[in-house]
Amino acid sequence: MHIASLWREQESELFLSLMVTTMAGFVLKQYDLPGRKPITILITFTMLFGGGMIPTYIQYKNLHLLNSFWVYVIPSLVSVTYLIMVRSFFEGIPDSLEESAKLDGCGYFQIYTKIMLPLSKPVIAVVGLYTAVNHWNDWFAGAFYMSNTKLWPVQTVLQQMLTKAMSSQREVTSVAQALAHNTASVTSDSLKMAAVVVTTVPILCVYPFIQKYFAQGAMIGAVKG
Amino acid sequence: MQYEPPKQPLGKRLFRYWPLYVMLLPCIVYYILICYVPMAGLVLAFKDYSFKKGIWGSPWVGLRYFKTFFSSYDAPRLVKNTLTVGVIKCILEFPFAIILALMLNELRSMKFKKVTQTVTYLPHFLSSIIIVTMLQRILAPNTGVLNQAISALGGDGSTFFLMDAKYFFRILFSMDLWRNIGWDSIIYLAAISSVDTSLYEASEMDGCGKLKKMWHITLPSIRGTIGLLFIMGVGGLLSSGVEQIWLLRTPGNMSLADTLDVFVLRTGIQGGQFGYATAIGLIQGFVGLVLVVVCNKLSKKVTEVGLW
Repeated sequence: MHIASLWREQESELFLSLMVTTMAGFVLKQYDLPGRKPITILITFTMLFGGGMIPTYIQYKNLHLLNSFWVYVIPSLVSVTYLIMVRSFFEGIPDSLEESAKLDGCGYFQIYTKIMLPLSKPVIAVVGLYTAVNHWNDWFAGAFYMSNTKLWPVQTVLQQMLTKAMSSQREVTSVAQALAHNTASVTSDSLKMAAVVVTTVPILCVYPFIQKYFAQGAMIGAVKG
Repeated sequence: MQYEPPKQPLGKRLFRYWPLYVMLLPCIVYYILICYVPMAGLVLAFKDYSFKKGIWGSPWVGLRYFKTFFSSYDAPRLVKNTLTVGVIKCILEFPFAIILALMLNELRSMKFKKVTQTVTYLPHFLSSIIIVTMLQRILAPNTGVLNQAISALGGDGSTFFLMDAKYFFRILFSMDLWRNIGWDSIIYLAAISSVDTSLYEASEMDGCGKLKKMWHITLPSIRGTIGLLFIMGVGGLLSSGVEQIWLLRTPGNMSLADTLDVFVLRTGIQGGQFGYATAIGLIQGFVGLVLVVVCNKLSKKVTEVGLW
């Protein structure tokens, strides 16, 4: 585990994901855009049905994502729920702001960067923190799409420790054996607990700051979804 | 009245909006590559996959995998386990979040309410790994908190809960409930807070108590939200949440901790039987989709609330 590269990865994931999501949210808010409806339907349909694990795995393989750092970034780039959250937030921003910017000669991209983004800091904060937490907690990608142990995220490392601990417990069948093993298992257990603390602390630090946005975020997602 | 400009011809509009399409492009590319190509890849369920030939070059085998699966020794057990987990998660756990939201709503002390909410939301943000590691500690034979409590009360404190199949569903239920109850209650709380307060006042005039108010006003007012969340939940009836179950699997509870999801992962990604695993995944996804569509239809007929 290299903390620096881990951090870089987390950062790039967050930046890309927020950029793609907010841009798409901004576009899908334009009510007279030709093709808006079918695109929205096709995007939300992926919530209900998907290719399943194996075709997805093969697709990652074809895209050369397996065993590359990008397998942590690309597959979780956009999420329907967050996209809908962002879009509904944008819909709440008065159209007149956009109109006046257009009259002043702003293009769409400028409206997006100069008006929409500065006005939507709360929703960006919420989506950003959700994305970061989900990403931090993910072990699945590391365990199944990544065989290079050097590129494993923290949670996968922890999972491997856990599985190892399970199999060592497996051998301990009777109480007497357990007692005999006691000294050895204490060290592995304390190591495990140390890892748990290390992986939980970042979340506990972030938690108080996002907590006040929960209700609002969850509600937007539920009502418009 | 808002001024509605007359619609321009399609070609002109497409041209006028080109920057918007460019901005949407990454998102569209993402959904095509990550969601829709794998959906097309579901044809694998009818093919004998070979790495060299790829999905499209592999020979067709028709319904062979489906026949193999349904006539196999594993099928009834897998389906039964999957359904049990689904029922636990979607139906048994479902009312608890509503009850928690109703209770939180009745609290007088704002401070206590805040603290309770903070404490109940937190587990949602812990990863499955951490939760399972903590469970291991709590449920460990002899040294775990639970077993020590049992032996302090005079019982036998050497039960290895995680290795015993008969505790598996109970552990799964408590773990999943603990993790999600607070988070799920947020939506109900938000719905409850938007109930018209004059209704409560009117019912007070008529002499309603707290419980009656809950039953006759709060619950009917949030039934739309309840219905929506239920439909969403039913879609997941067949997808058991592979993460938790994979982590809770031990040699002792292997017979119950084998759901369709886990089986797909085992035979497909670990075992390399891509076609067979895809076929099982397809059955699972398709049944989930059908369940959602049917529930949505029913709900629209009965309560006039639907996802679409």
